[in-house]
Amino acid sequence: MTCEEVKLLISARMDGEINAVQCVAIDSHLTGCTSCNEETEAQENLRAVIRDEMPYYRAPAHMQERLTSALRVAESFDGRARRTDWRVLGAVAAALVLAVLGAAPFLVNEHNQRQIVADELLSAHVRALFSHTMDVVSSDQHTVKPWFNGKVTFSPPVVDLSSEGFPLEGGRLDSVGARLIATLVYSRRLHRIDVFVWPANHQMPPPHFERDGYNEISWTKNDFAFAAVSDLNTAELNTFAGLLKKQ
Amino acid sequence: MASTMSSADFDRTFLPHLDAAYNLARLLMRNAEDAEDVVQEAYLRALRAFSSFRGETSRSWLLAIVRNTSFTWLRNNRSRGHTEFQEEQHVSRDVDPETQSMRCERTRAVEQCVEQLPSDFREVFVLREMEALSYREIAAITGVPAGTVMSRLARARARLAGCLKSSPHKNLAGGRIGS
Repeated sequence: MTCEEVKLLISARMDGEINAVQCVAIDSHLTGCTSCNEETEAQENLRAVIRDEMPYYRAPAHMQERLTSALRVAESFDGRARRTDWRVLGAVAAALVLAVLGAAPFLVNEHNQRQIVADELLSAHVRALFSHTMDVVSSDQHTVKPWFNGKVTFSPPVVDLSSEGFPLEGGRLDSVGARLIATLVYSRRLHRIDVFVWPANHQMPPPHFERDGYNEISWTKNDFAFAAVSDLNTAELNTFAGLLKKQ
Repeated sequence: MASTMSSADFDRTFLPHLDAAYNLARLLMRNAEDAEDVVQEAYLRALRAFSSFRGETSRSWLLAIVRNTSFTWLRNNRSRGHTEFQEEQHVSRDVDPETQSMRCERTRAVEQCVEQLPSDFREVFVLREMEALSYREIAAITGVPAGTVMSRLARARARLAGCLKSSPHKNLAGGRIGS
């Protein structure tokens, strides 16, 4: 065994990760090699220093509480998603029965679909709040708009509303159903507003939707569908939506 | 299995590993805020993947997710960057202020050298030296063969020895300090 081979194995030997044959070979080499003996000693010293001095970072005290509450929220959202799935299945089953009976089931189905889209958008908003997700951080509409090029198959209209008290913060991508949609992020004081934008030829959420203290306002304009979601109060969110509709 | 798993099961299985998860994320991200966010995201991912958990070693399973989440963050440049050494976060073992301050300096030197390791060396180093995992477990977490774990560890240690030699605390590399 050469010194090079032995030196590589010294560290593995310290970890108890070599087999008996290698162990015998190293030991016989060490009896006649000063340089490898020194290397062994140096490595053992290094390990002792690391064990003594290397700090182990413990999670900060507030972390467990923050974590468990995030986990419970995530679970309740997953539970909600599963229940939603059953509603879709139920609606489809009901639709089939009604279709067989010759009735028009579309209104029921339509209503459910709209609720589901609204639900999904709201979940995307809450998820992003938890994970602090923002793919492009900029208050400049000329940075945010081109960022979406090549990421979604449309170019969403982007305006900054700083002068009206709703500064643009950035944007990100979200997937709703199987589609990628563009999300513009605005703020109002400490509140965050997500504006989801997608081509209007897909299913729309209802114009107003409210759940768990969040408001959602949706509209279409120039072949684009928009949905603004925030924990901001309804009046201010309406003002904000009004400003966007005027652009 | 999945349907019988409750949130209490999840908490009981994975919350005891919170410190290990945080320590790994902290050393990979080199920044306390990022480490917290990465750990939270990793736990949420673990929750979503809980149905595929088959009772393997829960710590390794979680650390693999923490490791992958950290690298995703680093790749997507979501890291806030490297923060300087923060003394108050370190676990103190001594009470005597003079010893404490010397120890802090030595700890800082060791930590800086560890943080300067390339991240693929740093992860095997942390998993081996701080979590005492076997090469096989480390190989499973990092997705490389055990032989690669062995050579990365050997090279990480060689780099550390070199770095400590060039640090102002020369005695760190030379021999064990009596304290």
